Amino acid sequence: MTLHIDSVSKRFGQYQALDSVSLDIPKGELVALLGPSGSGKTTLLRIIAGLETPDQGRVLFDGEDATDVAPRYRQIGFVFQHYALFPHLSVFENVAFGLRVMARETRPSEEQVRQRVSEILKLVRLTNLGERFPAQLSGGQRQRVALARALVIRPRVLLLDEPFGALDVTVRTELRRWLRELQQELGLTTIFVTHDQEEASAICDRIAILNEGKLLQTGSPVDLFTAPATSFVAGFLGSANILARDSLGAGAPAGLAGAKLAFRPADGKLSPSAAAPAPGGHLRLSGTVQHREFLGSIVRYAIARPGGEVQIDAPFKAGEAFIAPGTEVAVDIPHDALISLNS
Amino acid sequence: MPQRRILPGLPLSLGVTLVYVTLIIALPVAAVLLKAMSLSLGEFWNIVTSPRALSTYRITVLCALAATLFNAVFGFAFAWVLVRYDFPGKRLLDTLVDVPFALPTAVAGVTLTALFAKNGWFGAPLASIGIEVAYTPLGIIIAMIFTSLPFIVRTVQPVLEELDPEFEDAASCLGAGDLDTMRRVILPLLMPALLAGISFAFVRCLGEFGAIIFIAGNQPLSTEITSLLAFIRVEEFDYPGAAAIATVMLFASLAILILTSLAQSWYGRHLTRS
Repeated sequence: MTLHIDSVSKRFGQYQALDSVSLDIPKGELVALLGPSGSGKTTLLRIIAGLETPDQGRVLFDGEDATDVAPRYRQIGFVFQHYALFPHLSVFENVAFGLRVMARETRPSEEQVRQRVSEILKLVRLTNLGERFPAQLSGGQRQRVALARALVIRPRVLLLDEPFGALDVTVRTELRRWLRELQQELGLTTIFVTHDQEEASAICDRIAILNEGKLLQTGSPVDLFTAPATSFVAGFLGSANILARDSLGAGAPAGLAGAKLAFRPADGKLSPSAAAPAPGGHLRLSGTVQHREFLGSIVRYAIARPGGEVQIDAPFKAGEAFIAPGTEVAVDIPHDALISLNS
Repeated sequence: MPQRRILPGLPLSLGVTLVYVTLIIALPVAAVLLKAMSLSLGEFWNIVTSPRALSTYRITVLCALAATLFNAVFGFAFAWVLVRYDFPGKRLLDTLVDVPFALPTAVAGVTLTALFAKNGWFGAPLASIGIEVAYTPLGIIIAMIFTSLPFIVRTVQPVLEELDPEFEDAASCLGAGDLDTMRRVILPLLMPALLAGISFAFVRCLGEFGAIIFIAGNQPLSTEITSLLAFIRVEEFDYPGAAAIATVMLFASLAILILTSLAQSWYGRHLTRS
């Protein structure tokens, strides 16, 4: 199903949770709503599900206005952050819930329910756990039960709220890969909310970045990484050094129009400040090494300079000496690694 | 060598508790039983199955059932409103729930009688449509409803507060209507608390005395409750007779509490089998 979100706004008292957000999601796409906490991403997800009503704007499913449709008629799969599994029902009954509450005319027979639930349990690899209760499951298993419960109603859209937030790292990486495969297998339009940029980049077709209720930028993970439009996006997706254009004086390359320039820590090259002038096509910054962190494959230097601190990641080679804090250095950044930002 | 305990003060606090339980609860109960045992089995049986006694059981139990049923629905709705909605005056309403706890039951009885008497604020309009409350079993039911309401509200309320609204969101996303959500999700999760509230309320109704005797009229065989009959026997200096009737009430209440706690533990195991 294609989904159109058309200038949706929502206010809770004094707090503007969403400010005129528009977003189109084509059929079969996996989209991440990425942003810090309080950015409005969960509110947007709840509005799509119908659990909140927008103050302004519309939500369209396949071109049809669904803004005033009650959640129970939307046929949307929702996986809650803490799963919201019914504690008094077995795994089987949790998954069967969506079938048992169907209108009498469409409700499947007991036999069909059994069959459908077993299919779904097999799909989420929980075949033998049908008789268990949610309290007897691990976090990852609960997550898959929640997913199975959402899938059983053949949802038109799958919505996941921080689906991996409550899991430990190994389970998280495994599950997200599995979720991506499952989503592609089912061809299911899916939106998930996360504050983890790595998670979003790893499995999504597209990322929509939200901050303070506003949609800042949408695009593929690679597009957003290579061409962020604002310093917030640049800093949120990977780390970035932001330079005010004014602080660069004549050194700034003429081709880049933005008010600010950014570059990734790995794109700056360190050399002793006394060395030869900057090679052609490079922007040179100079400063003093403030701090050094050894991170395994890279060494991260914090360089203090008049226009503010920058971070440089130098590849670590065994046997090579670190640059000591206090040393004057030059940082050379190739012009094509510079990103022009609007704000 | 002195024994090391993690938690200090166990012997003292346990001792105090046991003495208290013995003096305040167990001893009087034993006294009632002993007094009743001064009767022969045949005498005992005659007293507790006399037509007048049987009619008080019937009236007390039926009225208590009606009052409890009413409060199960109304008290649940009351707790729901207090937990799930915000409105001006909510704090005041929350405090008012406890009034039946705080008010002397005699005051409640006098007030209810005045309200529901044929010329009272409620009684007059009701009388004009042919409903008599004061001095009828309906009056008994109303007095019981009044005094037992807090038991249901106060047991359901905290559990409802802990019930994550996400369960309701999840149910509605899965296509459940309000009725299905209530029947399949909310009620089962609240059932242990609701059961406890219902049984406290019922036991309270069985034993209520002060609020009822003013409004009931106390006609033997029609509006006389069991605790009043026991009281009348005491006034007649028939202590063994009073004790025999009290024994019946005691065992009825105990049986209900035990059944409830069995049902609750069964339900609890059912909920968290792990």
